[in-house]
Amino acid sequence: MVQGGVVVDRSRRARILRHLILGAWVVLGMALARLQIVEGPAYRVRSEQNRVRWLTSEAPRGEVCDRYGLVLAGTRLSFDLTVLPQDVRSIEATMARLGPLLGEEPSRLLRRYRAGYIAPFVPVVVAPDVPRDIAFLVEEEGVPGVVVTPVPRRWYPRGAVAAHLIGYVGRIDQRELARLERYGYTQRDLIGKAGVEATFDHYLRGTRGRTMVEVDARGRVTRTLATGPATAGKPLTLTVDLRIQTAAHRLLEGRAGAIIVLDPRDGAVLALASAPEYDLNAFVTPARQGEVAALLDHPEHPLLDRAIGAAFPPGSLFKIVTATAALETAPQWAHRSLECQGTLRIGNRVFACWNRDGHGVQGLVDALTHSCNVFFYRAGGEVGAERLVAYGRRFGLGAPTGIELPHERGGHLPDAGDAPRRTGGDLANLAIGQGDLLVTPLQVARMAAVVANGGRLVRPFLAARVEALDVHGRAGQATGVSGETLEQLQQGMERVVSDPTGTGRFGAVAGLRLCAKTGTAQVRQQRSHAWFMGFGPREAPAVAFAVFLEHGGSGSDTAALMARDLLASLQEQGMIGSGSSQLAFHPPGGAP
Amino acid sequence: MSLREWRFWAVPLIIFGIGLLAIESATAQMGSAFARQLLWRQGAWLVLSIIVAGLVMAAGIHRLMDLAYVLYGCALVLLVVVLLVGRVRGGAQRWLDLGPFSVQPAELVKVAYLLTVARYLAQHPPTGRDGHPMLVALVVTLVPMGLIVLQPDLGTALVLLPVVLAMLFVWGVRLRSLLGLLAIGLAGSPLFWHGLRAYQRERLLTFLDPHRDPLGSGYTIIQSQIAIGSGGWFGKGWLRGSQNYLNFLPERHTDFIFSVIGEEWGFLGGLVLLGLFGLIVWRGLDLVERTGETFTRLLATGIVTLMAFQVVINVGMTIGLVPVVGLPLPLVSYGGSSLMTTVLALLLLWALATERHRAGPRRV
Repeated sequence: MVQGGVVVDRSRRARILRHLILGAWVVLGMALARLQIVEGPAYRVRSEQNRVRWLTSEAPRGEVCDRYGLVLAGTRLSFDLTVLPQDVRSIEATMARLGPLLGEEPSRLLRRYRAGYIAPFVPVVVAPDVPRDIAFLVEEEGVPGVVVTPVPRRWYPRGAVAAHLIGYVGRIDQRELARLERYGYTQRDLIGKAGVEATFDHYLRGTRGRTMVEVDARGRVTRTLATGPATAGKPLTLTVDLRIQTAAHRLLEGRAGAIIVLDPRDGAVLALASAPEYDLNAFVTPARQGEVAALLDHPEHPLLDRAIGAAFPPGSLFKIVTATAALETAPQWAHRSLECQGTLRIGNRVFACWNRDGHGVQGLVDALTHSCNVFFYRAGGEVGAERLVAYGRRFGLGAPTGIELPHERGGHLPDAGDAPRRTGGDLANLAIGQGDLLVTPLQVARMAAVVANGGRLVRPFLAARVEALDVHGRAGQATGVSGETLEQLQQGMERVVSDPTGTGRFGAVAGLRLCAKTGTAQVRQQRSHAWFMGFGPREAPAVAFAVFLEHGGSGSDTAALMARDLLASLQEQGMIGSGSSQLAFHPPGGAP
Repeated sequence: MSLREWRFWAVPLIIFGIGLLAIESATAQMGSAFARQLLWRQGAWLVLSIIVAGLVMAAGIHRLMDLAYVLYGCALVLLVVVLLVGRVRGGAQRWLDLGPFSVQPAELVKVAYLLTVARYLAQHPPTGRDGHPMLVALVVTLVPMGLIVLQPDLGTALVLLPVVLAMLFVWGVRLRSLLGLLAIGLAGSPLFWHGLRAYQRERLLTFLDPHRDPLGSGYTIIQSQIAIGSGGWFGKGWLRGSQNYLNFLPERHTDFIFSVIGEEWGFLGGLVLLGLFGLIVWRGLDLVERTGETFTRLLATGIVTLMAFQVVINVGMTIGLVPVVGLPLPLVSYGGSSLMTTVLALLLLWALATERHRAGPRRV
């Protein structure tokens, strides 16, 4: 039966089988080589990605201090109640135990936990910022998986004082993240949202601590591979004097408006207050979220920084610009006298002076003293709108000052190209600061500084020192206004206060040679805005200021009285006085 | 059989040793007490397997051949029993409880099956019109296959197909018949697809594209590829495969044990293991080629094909070359039934090889 041929055939088939199996082995070996040697490095990376996760810890933010080191924005140690998912057996049971300790509904805790869950190794905050005694209570109770995590939180020890200036922090939003991602900001970062918190965020923010951990397939941490501690942010010292700021804050209480105090020599901001104010801590205290919503809906818009973020008609303050334009174009204005009869006819319209009885015959200094409209209607009419606008620009109107704060407005000056067409009534209105003119209180304070410092347009600034680096105020830009003109302006402004008939006489402070100008900007159908700007002491100006009261009535009384109180309190504290200049902020080794 | 014939048992023993190291590494991070016992249990299974296989072999190869049909019948009964009273684990009814151990009849069936087909085909040499014996061999294959698929255990069932094809091929089936068989098989494959359970279809689709569901059915393949791929040339070292000890590899002490070896011992380790398996297969094929006895040739062919197919499919699925079907790696994967079957098969091969040198009565 077994024939030779068949046997040969069979061993041939055995060899074929051998080759088939050998082939399978070769394919297997090659596939293995491809996976482990050709693609090995890529898979190595993937296995590391599988294995390694980063945990972060919050870094304390840099402190913000006033010029004497008093803390305006600091850090407090707070306690977050966190749950580490990988250590919890039953989350429901855990929340049921936590609820009574915190005095919260377990179901609410559970909802917060579910919303915050990311991965088993990432702690979930179920109760942020719990009181210290509750934190200790929970710690003692020792609920498995529940950890009391100390977290540095922003704290504003002065509450509402300087609120707009300091600003606050909040979670980064999508737009900010898109802009800042490449600078190392991440989804969960806090970022300055307003004030210097926003402008100097880059310095104030620290670097998060990073811990590299190994996790298993279920995301549970198995061990720590490396740790990098958090680095605190850099401290920021402001030019602000907390005493002046606090005084301004108190004066503005219950009103809407702004008070700004500058050092006229370099533009250093001594105080910058806006009212109504709000407690900054509402923004950084989780339990006070409701207050924030109320602030947003408040009819008085407390979040608006009236010192820089809103512009108003300047009223008679603009007469400083008109006077300067007149004196600079035709120096004989220093000696000219004009008669005010209470009204002035321009074209077929009659323009009134605020004093219907008229101011009589007077020169430019008298006209400033009395804020005579008729005089400036005529001065403006001769000078022309083009020059008025040009001088307004020289005083820094119509453009942001460049202070280190977000959302600064530039106000409004009539268009230079449009100015020549303004004649007659338009021009007259412009000359006394009515019409389409808008200025910010900060611009006004700077205008006062220009008159005080010999004609330099300084840039207001807030940062005195970042970490150990001093910031020097710059000399500012020369306006080109002559000394004679400035002398005339100063004389007029001093008499505004010192003359018994001066519009700003209520602002007088005994023992202080104060120069000032009042402004009352009429607002259709509402109370006028009240302005009072000035500087002092005249012989060696140490402060330039602006007081603005939104719908505050007349500059001559409400605003003047408020300025008087402010300056009196500064004088009382020895900060200003005749011939004194203790206020000047001169950094060691700095400018004169 | 004597210790001098070390080349028969040394290679399987080395492979088993590698398997023990891999099991130790695979279970080192598993928390449960049961997991920590696996190493000892595997050792105990080896001893038990050698004793059982020794007792079986004591009957002598020819008595086994005589008993083949009876054993086959018993095996079928066991397969029916497991479907009725077997323990359900992981959605499949594969195990019969025997005191501290449980066994998978599907594994044990393999030996009886091999003996039966080898004996039948040896007693019915090809005549040139293979119809009848070929069909009988196919029916003998399909009956246990069907019972195993019902458990369901697709991998173990599928192993029988290449085995019977290889045995028919070496037996001398006409190529025309073999091709016809394959054609019928292909034509029937849509039917096969419909017969599959949902999870089995899912596995086949996942094999075609593991990333279609990276956290679900594709997870195992992807993680296994990452493990083996990241092993590189030399591996990450024993007990130091992160994919392994961080639990990224499911089933890593059983079907996916090669992932652990690939990750921790690298390409070289994997190549050594494949080489060792290759040695066993190579020597088995020597026997197939040289023996004059049809029964010996056919049984050896069956054993070698069984071994080779399991290695190729198992390693192939861990590196994404073939679909995940759930087959153990012989001698390496944890599991007593598979170990006992492999030991028995290797002892049979050894007996066949040594018998050739003796002047025994030639049968057939």
